[in-house]
Amino acid sequence: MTRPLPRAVHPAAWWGWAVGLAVAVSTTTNPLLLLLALAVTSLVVAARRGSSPWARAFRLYLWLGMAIVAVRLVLHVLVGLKVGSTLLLPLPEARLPSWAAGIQLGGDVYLEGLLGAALLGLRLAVIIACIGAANALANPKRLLRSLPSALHEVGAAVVVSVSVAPQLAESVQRVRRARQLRGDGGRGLRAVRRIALPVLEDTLERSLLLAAAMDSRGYGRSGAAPERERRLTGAVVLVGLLACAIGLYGVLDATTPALLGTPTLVVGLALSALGLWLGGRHVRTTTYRPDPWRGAEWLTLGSGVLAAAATTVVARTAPDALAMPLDPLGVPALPLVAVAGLLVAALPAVLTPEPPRPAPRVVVRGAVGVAA
Amino acid sequence: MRRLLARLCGAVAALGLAGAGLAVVAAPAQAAACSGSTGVTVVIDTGSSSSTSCASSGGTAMAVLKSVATVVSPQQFPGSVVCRINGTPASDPCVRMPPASAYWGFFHAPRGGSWTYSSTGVASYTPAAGTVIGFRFGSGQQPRTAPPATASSPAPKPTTKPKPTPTPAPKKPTAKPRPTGAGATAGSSGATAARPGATGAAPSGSASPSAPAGASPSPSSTLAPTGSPSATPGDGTTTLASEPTSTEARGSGAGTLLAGGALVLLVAGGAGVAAWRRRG
Repeated sequence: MTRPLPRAVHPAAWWGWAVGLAVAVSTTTNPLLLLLALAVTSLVVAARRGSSPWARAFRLYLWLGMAIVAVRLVLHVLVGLKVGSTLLLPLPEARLPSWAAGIQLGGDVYLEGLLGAALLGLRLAVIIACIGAANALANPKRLLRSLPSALHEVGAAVVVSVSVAPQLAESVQRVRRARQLRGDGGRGLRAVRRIALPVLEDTLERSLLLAAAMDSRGYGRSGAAPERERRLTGAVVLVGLLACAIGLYGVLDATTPALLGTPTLVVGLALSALGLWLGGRHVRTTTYRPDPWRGAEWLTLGSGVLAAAATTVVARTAPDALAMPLDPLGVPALPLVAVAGLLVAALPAVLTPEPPRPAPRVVVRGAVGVAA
Repeated sequence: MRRLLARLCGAVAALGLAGAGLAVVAAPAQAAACSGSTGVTVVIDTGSSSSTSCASSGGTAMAVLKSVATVVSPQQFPGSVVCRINGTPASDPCVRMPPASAYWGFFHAPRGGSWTYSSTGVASYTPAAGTVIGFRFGSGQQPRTAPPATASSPAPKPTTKPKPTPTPAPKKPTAKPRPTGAGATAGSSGATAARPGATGAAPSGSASPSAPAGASPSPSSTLAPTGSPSATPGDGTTTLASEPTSTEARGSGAGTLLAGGALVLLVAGGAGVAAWRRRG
């Protein structure tokens, strides 16, 4: 078997994989499964992340996850409902008035309750790690390029706004450096005032430049569609989104009539898709070097979907295996189907093509910026 | 335990009133409302049948309930929410919060008073001794049984507790009579009465006045036969109730933990190696 050429896997495939993994994780409090999912995401990120700045941000998501677990534990000790029988930490409890009776302020901390809180925190942390993995593996700019053509303008606006922050930072650096070269190395509030104005001016100039460039490339010309059709498209999209919102509410709230649930949601989604298609008919855009969707993409997406499906099957057949037994405390189960699903989700770490290697280090910074 | 109770309830229905009355005799500590100002009376109303029992143990309402019945919590809220009591409802998988149309409503009341829908959860409410807590399955209705009043003549004080029999573990449903240590508790009514201490008079604590079936202080004590197979007093029942229901699904403890941990370490180690190779 020949090694596939290094290329970036389609960002939508990575997002599908990550969402599948997050769905799988969201149904369980079993620490073995949670830690396995975390290990799987770390493995895939370590093996297949690109070399862009956001690809290095996965570590930040892990830190965020740890902070979440810590906060969850602290909140449990402070205001959580302490259940369990194994006394861990005897603490005094504050008596609250009857209108706040649902809150237990302080009180003895039991092992079972603390463990339950930690596992709930860990579950959220792993879900966030999944999203972080998608962010590290998929280039957001490339993802926006594969939007439907009706959303093309919105996508372009999002790309512009996403790149504002790094540009602003660069602008500040440039102005400060220029001032220092002129012997004005001031710090503090006075320096901020002196730097802010040039930066503002710089930003305005840049945005005007960008607008001119985009205008010359044909952005913002929406006059091709006749007036009536534009109104129709707008109405269809609006009604579709409204139906989506009502349908989602119906699905989440069990007391609403059944008709307001899934049927409304499906109709809303169909109407939105129709609106996007109608709106996109008159927008003709081309993509420079579009990302292909080949076997590796199917494999990535499929492995994520399989992980979610495996956990769902276990949740249907043996829901006890997905929960940490806390009442009474016991050893968590190791449901084979769910474990197999999570291990399948690790396959993209070896079976997808490697990401393109970064340019050698000798290249100066400016050149890298152009290449990106 | 749950199966046992379900089966027993059915058995009682078949046996009829006489059997129930005799079974009350055999289950002294749990049969009906508490007699004095000690203990917490627990009323459990499944919507179709109602039962009253007395818990001698204190603690939160959850702990009290667990001492007289088998309680299953939803998977997502272990130990703090009631999903299933004595096998009711059987249809709820007990994974999430039960729906608002079919849940166990939690009430409390003074003896002989009226029910109050509890504003706090079952795990954060601590009933005072001598009060009543009630559970009703449905959409939040009150238990149909009124909170039992204190018996007017608290003559039979629970002075001597019945000794726990040597085999306090009724694992199997009691279709087959199980010979207990002293007095051969047979399923037939006559043998039950032959238990030591279970003379026609009060064997122990609370339930004594109910030996003649009609005179029971609790309006309906169908849960009475809980103890009948081998009379397990309060404490014995607690350990039974907390017995894991699905031990077979959990596999062998340490082996599972070891295998799972090894798997996690293996994958995490792979991640570490991959990260290290990229950096190098």
